[in-house]
Amino acid sequence: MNTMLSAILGVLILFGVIALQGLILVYMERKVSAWMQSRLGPNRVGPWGLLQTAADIVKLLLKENIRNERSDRVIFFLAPILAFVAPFAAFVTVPFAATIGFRDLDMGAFYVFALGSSVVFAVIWAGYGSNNRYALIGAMRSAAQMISYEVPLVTAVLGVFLVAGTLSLREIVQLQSQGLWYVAVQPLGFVLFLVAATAESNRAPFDLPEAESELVAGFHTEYSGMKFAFFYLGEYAEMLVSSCVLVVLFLGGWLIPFANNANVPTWLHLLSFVSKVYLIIFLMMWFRWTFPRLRVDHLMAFGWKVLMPLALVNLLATGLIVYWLKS
Amino acid sequence: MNFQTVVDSIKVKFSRVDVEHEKVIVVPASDFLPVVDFLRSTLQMNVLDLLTASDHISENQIHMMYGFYSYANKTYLRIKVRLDRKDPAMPTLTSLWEAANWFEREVFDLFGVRFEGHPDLRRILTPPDFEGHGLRKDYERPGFFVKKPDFK
Amino acid sequence: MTMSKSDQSVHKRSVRFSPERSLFDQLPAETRIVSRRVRTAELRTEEFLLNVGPQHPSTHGVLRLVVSLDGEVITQCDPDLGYLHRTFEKISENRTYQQIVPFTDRMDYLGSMNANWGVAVAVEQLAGIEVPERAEYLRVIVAELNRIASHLMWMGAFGADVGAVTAFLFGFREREMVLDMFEEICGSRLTYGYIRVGGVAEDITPRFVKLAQEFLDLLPSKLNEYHDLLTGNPIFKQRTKGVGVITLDEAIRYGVTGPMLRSCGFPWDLRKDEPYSIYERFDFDIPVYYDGDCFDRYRVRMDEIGESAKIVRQALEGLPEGDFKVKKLARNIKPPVGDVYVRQEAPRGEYGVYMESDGTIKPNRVKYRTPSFSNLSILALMTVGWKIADLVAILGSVDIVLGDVDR
Repeated sequence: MNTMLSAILGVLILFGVIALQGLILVYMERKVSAWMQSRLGPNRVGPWGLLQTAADIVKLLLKENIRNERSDRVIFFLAPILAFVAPFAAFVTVPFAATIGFRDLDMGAFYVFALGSSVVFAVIWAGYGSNNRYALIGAMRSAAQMISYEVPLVTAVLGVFLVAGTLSLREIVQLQSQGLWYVAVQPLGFVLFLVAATAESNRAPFDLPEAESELVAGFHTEYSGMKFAFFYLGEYAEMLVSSCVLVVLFLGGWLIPFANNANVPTWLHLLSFVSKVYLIIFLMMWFRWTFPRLRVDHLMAFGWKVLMPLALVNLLATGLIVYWLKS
Repeated sequence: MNFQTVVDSIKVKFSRVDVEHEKVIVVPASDFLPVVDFLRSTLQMNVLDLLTASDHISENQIHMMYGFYSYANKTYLRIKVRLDRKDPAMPTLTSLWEAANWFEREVFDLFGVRFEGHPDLRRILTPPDFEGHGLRKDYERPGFFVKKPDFK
Repeated sequence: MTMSKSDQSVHKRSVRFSPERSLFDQLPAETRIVSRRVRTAELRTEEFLLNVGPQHPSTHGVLRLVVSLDGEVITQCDPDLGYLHRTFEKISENRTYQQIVPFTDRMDYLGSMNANWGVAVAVEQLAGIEVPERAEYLRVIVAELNRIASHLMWMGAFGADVGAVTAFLFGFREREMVLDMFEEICGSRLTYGYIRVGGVAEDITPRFVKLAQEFLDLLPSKLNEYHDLLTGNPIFKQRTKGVGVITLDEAIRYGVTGPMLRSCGFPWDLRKDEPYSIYERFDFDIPVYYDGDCFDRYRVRMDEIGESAKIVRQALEGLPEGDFKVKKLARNIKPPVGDVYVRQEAPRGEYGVYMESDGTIKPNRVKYRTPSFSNLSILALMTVGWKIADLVAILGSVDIVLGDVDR
């Protein structure tokens, strides 16, 4: 009973934290884009416009939920929930600091990637369920894109698992504290993962499923109000989870560089983790506001003809070196 | 090649062509296609620049106005064709210039001139269920809300 | 006149994809049975009709495109115009000659100065009005500044079309400076009505000259910024190079003019080849590229910004003293019976005004031969065989203003 209670409490805390992160990320996205486009960004609601996103959420909550007449009621309803729940659930196994984290699963990385791929269902459901042609095209694109980037993404991190010899995220960080961070061991894997993770979370320049200038809003064209907000939040949660995994796998998780990590207080570890994550997110935002969008066939070609061979080469090289070192 | 030499060379072949003023020649409708063909093949007038009409209700005529241009010789020639206001018809130029397609659709839409042989003669600027031809002088606006719009 | 059968074809087609019918219902009956039995081998593929617009973020206004898709590839594209048809030609027949000018602002609202100019020159030629030299210089200055503003705006919109939203804001930032100048001289930022029959509305102020100098000094560095952001970007090149290619022959047959024609390898510009106003006094080049694709259209326009800046600089230096408009002009001009056709090089291509006078204070007929209308007619040819994402890039590269298309 006690574990049950603590689990529920944990989920609530996690939800609160992630929702807050979502708000902060939306605000950050607006400010970063404004900065890159020489605008001011939100500056009216609250100090420095900090409450703008909160006001937006209130607006979305008050909006009417509109559904197309011939849309598929169940699927249309479930899609935004899955889009948010899947990346949210992935946080369960992410170690935020040495002693902070919910569950340390033996197959943690596997679990995260499995949940990450299930977002594609949400997108396809949204596209199919809303009875809209733009949404359908967006969903078809998304299915193709996510599947073709899933493969190089996982192949790119296999190198890390080969070096570490474990799938537990916490153990991977602890292993990095004893030696080099894996970004130094697996530089190619890091770059591949960053690119594939950007594509995986449908961020520009890979935001084809919701390509605004072509498909209006892609798979969530017909969504409004809180359902739309869930897609929006889901996108940021997914971005957050990919950055967390990236930091854990390659950038030493909570570790502070050039310091004796054994006797550093936990809050500093947490701070280090969060700042690394935000650095990666800033990088993703930078991509978004400077690159044009790829075309769908170029995107597929890039995934299969560039990323995939590189990931395979990386995997093969890592495997050979690990084998040679061990024997 | 200036305007006068162009007109002279046309007049040698087509006797029924008149000069209206120093930019425009008037061609009878029956001679129109041969003249255009002559302009295109012999005088290198390879651009259809202007295709429009104007309503002259007092003369009971619709005047077609064509503008042809030659990039090579930098000569501009306008051709006026006088048509009867009742059931005006012209041969289409779409087989010679694709540019004529939309121009002719516009003239059909706003003046009701039929272009014989046009592949896709339908209204372009006004809605498909529009009645009448807007740029004719005797066109009367039907007033607002006389007809319930049909949104099927 | 009754509606002919072909009149309704667009209309009828729209019924096919009404929202009440789901995709499944549109499959033929036998296909439905087959798919229920999950005999997928016999499932047929179907053409997918997409209704792009009139409300769509990338149709630059209210243009509707009926697009047939095979997967993502366009098999047919039928533009449906007229959503912004405000009958300016009819209105012009019911206004005096001076009153026509403000309507042209609303046609090509990104190049209003050039639109004003054409009408003003047409009336002046009809009525035989001589314009003072200073007015001609001022006209050239504002028209070229307007060309710069129009191309900057186009660059931003084109960037946004291919997904580079930041370019949009960059284009607007510098366009803002031009708008400030126009606000200074005519109080208006979009619909100027500055060039009028017999001259211009107001003389320029010292502040205008100062702003213009600042702008011209700043422009080269900003152009480099755009080139950094877009021209050199590999994704941008990938999206635009070789996309929507037209040949010179096709361009001429479709009546395509302006930057689109110049991107096909034909250095044709009315300002140079048939100089009107005082353009022969200025030293400038006609940018020309040879591939006829979206990227070349982009490069032509980017180069034209620099060339226009050159003209403005020279015109500001050579600006003579004198009147900025004809001193005595009749309240209602009554030109003699006759017709006139004026052609000018607007930002989007050749802008023509055909005007017919019947000797009264109102014209008998005014026809605006607008570049967007002619340039858009080649869209169907350019898009077939390309992907739906290219449709947006190609449509953007045409540089249409729907007010200019529908009038």
